[in-house]
Amino acid sequence: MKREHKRGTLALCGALLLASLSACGGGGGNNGGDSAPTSGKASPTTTEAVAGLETSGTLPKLDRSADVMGPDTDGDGIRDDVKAVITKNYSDSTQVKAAVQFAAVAQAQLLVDTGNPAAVKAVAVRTAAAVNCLVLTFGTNTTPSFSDVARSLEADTANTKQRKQAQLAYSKAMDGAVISLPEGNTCE
Amino acid sequence: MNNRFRKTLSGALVAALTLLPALDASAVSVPQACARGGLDVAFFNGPMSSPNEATYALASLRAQLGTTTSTGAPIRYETFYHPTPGLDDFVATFAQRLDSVEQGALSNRFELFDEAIRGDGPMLNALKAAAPATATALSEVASDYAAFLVKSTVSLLDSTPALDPTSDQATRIAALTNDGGKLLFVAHSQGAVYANQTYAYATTKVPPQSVGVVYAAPVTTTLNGAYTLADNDQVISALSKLRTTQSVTDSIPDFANRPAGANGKKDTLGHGLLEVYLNTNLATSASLHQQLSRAMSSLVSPTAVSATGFFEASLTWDGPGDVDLHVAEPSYPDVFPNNPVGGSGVLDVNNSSGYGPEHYYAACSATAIEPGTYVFSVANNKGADGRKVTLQVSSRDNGVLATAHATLGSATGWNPSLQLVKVNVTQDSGGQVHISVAQ
Repeated sequence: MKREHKRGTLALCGALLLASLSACGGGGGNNGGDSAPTSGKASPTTTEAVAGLETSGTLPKLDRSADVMGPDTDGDGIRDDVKAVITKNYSDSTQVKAAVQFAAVAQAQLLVDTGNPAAVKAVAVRTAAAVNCLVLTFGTNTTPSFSDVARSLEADTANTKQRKQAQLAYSKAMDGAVISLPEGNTCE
Repeated sequence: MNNRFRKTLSGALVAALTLLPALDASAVSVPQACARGGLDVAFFNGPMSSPNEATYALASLRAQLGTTTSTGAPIRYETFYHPTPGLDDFVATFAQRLDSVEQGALSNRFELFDEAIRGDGPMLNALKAAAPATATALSEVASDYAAFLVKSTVSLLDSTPALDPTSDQATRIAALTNDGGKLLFVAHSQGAVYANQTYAYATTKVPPQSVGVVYAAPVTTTLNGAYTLADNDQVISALSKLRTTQSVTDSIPDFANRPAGANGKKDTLGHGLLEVYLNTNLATSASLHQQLSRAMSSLVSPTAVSATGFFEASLTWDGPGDVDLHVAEPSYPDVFPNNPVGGSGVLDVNNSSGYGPEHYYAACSATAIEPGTYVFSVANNKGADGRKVTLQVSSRDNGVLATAHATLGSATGWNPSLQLVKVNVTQDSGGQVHISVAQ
């Protein structure tokens, strides 16, 4: 069912995949200069490459359970794997606190009752405060900048189709809203 | 004393719309309002995958424009948010792209979504390098997204909705113009559609000289201000094959030679606000900044109708009739038009003929405000049966906190019949005052 739909939409890539796992995407060393492993050894499969990137920490190891919330052992409103990413990436306590504040609202956006305008508005106000805190903590022209941190945490939080759809439901609930950028120190 | 003062005020409130600016501080301790004026920057976002993206853009805009005007007046920043129509359909397309890679090796990896639609990012680039088989499918996502954006824009242009005067955004515009602030709209891409609607509404409230609009990559043919458009903007370029678009104003390098933008990122489509239009390494940014500066310096403050404070409330309704705002402060059970001075705030605008506004402000100094719960209610005083009312509560530091709507029943005179919003004011151990909406 799903496979038929895929083939209809992505016929070219699908056909190439059936013919050869390495063909789709320009296998054989002509991949637009991307630094694929070479020297006579077979390229790793994508599954192997992703596993390697996760082991090395280049890609985050994220929970992909079917529910929107996912595991949150300490009940702080942040998924355990997202919390682990924060702990790994930031050592300064102020940065950790700012990242935690934002991660919590990114998660709250996925879980809020989108039929309750007051609840949606409350999450939006908390979000603006958290973004402003990231701006104060990380800055706009630094590496990582506030938006690097926020985008990364947002991506890690909305990391499955179901979670992305929950985020879109929140976006729709915000249609026509006014989001003010707070002034002053909004770090919790 | 207080009663006499209040009766005097009450007598002054017989006019249809009454501003109470000259409260006599020697007669009674009147909570002091903030200084009027300043500039409100309203950002109308383009295609974004979440409201957060709009807030990142707004924060970057604030970093570039600053928080005070050349004359030292405050600049406040707000997003007038609209999601990209049809984005859920694109999520399905993206899921198919992921599923297509090597027997589902990337299936359900939605953390790649934003980087893939932009065509740049650390996870995306690492993946393409380590697993070349992913490159084609992931690169196609940006093209898919461009096609989606054009379709979404055409659909939006063909069915431009009217601005509902009772909406959050219209109510906010009314409140900002009543406060005497100048308005500068910054519209990106599809945001031009909404900025134009809101401009039309705002100019029914204040003269056009008080409202400016500057566009980046506008999708509309109608404009109310200057615009910037890059030659390598592939979204507008594709749109131009289906609809009339504006002429190019600036040239930017192609993707391979383009420097990263205000967020340190690049955008294959050349359409991003931060990646292209606010990218200080590109000509587009210089043009946009010049237009913004011109607009800021040419705006004229409208006549203020109401005052501002640490927080405030604005009430409007949809027709003739006398509707009243009532505020229960922690130690003053009913601040309303017949008793307009409370312990922490003042009902400074009364309207007894129709449409509103009625307005309440709390003192400008947060420490002059009594901690506790503030309850905002309304009454159909007379002649407003069935009127739809909109109450918006905002704070100076956090902007809009709540917007509530209700339909009035029969007249109840001075007795409030509908409780719409409650806010809690607290003071922490450091003396800082916080305000939040009580659920």
